Amino acid sequence: MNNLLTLNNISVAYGDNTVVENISFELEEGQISCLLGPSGCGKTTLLRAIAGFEKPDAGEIKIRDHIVSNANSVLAPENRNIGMVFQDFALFPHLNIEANIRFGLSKKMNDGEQLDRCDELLELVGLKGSNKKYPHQLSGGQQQRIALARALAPEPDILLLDEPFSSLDVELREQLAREVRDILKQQNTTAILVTHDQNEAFAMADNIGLIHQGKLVQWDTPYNLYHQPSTRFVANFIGQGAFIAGKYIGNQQIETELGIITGSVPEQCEVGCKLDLLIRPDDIIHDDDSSLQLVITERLFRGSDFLYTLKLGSDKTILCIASSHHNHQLNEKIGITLDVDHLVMFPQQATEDTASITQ
Amino acid sequence: MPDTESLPQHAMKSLPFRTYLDRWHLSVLLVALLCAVPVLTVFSYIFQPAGEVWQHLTETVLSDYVLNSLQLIIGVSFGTLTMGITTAWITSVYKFPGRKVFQWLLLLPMALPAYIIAYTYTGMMDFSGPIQSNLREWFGWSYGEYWFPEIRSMWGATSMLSLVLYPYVYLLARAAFLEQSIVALEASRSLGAGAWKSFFKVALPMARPAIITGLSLVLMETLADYGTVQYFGISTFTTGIFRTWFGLNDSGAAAQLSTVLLIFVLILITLERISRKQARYFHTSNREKRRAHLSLSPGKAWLATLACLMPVLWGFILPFMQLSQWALETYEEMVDSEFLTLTWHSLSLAGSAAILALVIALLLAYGQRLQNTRLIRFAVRIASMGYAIPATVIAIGIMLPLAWVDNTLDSWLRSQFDVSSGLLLSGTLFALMFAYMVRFLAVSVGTVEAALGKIKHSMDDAARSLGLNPRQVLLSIHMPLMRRSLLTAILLVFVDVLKELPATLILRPFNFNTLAVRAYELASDERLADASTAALSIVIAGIIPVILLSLSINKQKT
Repeated sequence: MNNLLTLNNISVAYGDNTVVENISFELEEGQISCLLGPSGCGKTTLLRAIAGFEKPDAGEIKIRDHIVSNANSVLAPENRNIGMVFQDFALFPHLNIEANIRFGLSKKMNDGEQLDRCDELLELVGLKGSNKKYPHQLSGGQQQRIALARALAPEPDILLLDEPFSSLDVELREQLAREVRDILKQQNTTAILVTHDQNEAFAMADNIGLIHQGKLVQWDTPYNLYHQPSTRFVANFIGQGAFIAGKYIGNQQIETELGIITGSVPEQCEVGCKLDLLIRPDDIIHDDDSSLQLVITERLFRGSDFLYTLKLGSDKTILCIASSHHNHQLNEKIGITLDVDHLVMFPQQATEDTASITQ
Repeated sequence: MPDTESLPQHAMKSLPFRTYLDRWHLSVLLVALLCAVPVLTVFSYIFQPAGEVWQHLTETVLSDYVLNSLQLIIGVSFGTLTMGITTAWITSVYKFPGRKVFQWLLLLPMALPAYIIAYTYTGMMDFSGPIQSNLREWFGWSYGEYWFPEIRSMWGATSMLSLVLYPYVYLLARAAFLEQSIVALEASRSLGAGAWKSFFKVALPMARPAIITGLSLVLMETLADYGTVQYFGISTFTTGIFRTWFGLNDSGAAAQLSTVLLIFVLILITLERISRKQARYFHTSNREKRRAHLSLSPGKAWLATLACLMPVLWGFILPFMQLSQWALETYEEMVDSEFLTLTWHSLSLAGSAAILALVIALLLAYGQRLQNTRLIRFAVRIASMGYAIPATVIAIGIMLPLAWVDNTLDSWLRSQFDVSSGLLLSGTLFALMFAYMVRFLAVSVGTVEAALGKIKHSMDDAARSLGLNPRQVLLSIHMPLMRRSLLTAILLVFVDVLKELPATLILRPFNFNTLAVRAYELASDERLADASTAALSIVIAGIIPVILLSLSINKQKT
């Protein structure tokens, strides 16, 4: 085991308000992971605790083999050898790009070495030659890259990125997220990204920790998070989909409004128990010849495809993606077939609203 | 695996969250408490039984004070609103010769303290002054054959105060007009309202909160004025407080008079707060492109120039020229070693007050940044309320408790050790400095707060994550970013202290004179020309903040 970062039972509270509760995870060298969750879930607080800006009330944080935080003492941020990229970039407006990047470099490096390192990083982020410019002369995307270069310059053990793309235009975000991932991988930098945007998380991360109300709900690869959500919250939060009701009829078979579906039923479920099945748009194939015909209640044209909302007999709805050639009108019936690969189901809850969820 | 014990001790610090909490709270609260001392002192005299002097005052002059103050308020409101709004509207909407220059020329009268413009006009309009002399020469009149207005009167005081205070209204009204989006006015025009109707129905109501804020600042200055009304012989609260204090020697009655004055001020503060709150609702989107300035016919354009020229001419150019002329005639006589001492007194006093105010302002602003609790915010507001309180009241409110401390200490020392401590606090520079802090702290707090507000917290965090400790963050991030603002804060307080008259008159140590005091004394002795050198120095220093102000306004626009 070569854990670069270890969190053991970390809790952070503001007064009586616990915002991070008992979170543990480990990060290997060179891994990029992401803390994902709705706003206010505590992910930024957790990141700031790793950086040393917040004091955990319980638990310990280790970087390599050094304890940097425990309940008694906290190592100051400046002594942790971390790098951080901020939501608003936080470039120093009174310093030019070169001075910004050199800001964190060790005093042991001489001027020449510092300038070389600076040029190296500018080249890495694709902004060679902008040494003498000032932050306000750069676009948002360029400032973002400089912020990254500045954080990487002192070769931190770990890079922390706090919603780094949220102040950029939507078109720019995904492109930059991919670029940043390439740069980090190229440098073998260990990094943690905080975001509320799952597309960003999927584009960047090797591992994603989904956080809800201060708790770590699932720590997994993006693929597993989508296909094997551990809780209803994860299923709802990640991707699109809708729950439909089903009844276990034995032999790993479930009876639903869409017909009988086969899948691995949770062990505690006996014959006759009620289940909610997660049906994602990609579980449903549009097939005009199918005998299963449903009414379209909403249609959303997305360019390359249509996203149809289809009504079931029980008034529940499911989502279906059809190629943009299949232009159907509202209230028209279309045929579908099921192609369920990873069946996700939870024992039914009477109280919870299981209507369709769209991101 | 090493445990926490093996980490370098200097690196392991518990974070300052709770440790520093008390230290910041304590120091900020202490400052607020000290700043509240004058007001609390004055108010505490409400509960003192009214003495004979107070009886006498209420029977004789109190109604005069109230009536005169009200007359002054109404007159100055009318004068400053007329001049301020007209010039603000013209310069923000129309194209006319000299528009760009007038934008800042119109601020210049702010550089003249009211008491200086008052005695300058007295000199100019005297029987032997340039205006009457020339009139007599041109028309061949002689003494007693013509009527000439008497400047030393209510209308004179109203005009003098209006001429130097209208820039407050101008500044705020202009900012409000510039913020209004062109769309609101265009909508009004498209609905068939003409230019005048649009102004009165749309632009003016939208700017109302800003104008009221400006006006309440004007009226605070009007109520606080001592030099002008005293020189013109008009009895108001401030002159009354002086007379009761020095003439009748009744500190209790002086404090009680101060309370009445403070009630007026309180009304103004409330007015200001309400209108500042309302201002938010009157904001239109300012993303709109600025309108191009409207063209005027040549005749009207020159009329606009004239309208802007008048306040500057009367409020600055003429008195400045008169002062310069007097100074040229008399400076050789006046600039002697005594004058140099005065100058040194003024400069060192203003300089140290400005630096001290800056240090305290930094303490308050950082306290607020690091511990942004409701208590601290409240304390900072208390500490910066002095801008509204007349300096005369502050001086009384400081003199009374300090004198009590001195007397108590002195008699105790006499009885115990048979030595006298004399006046340790009152009658020393300490008292004076105390008063300046209470009065002018708001200026530096405002400037520092604005500067610090621009430094985002993430910038601190970024520097920390790059290896700087808090002290280094202060030195290499905050100081360079705030340098200009800190300098501005120093300059603003410096000039305010240089101009300050009533508190200095009351609290200065025996025989300790400043430029302002000397100018006032010479003018009171009718040695107007002799007063001009000191007065001119004050005015020239007063131009500095005006320049700073106009620079910062220009910067905001680009």
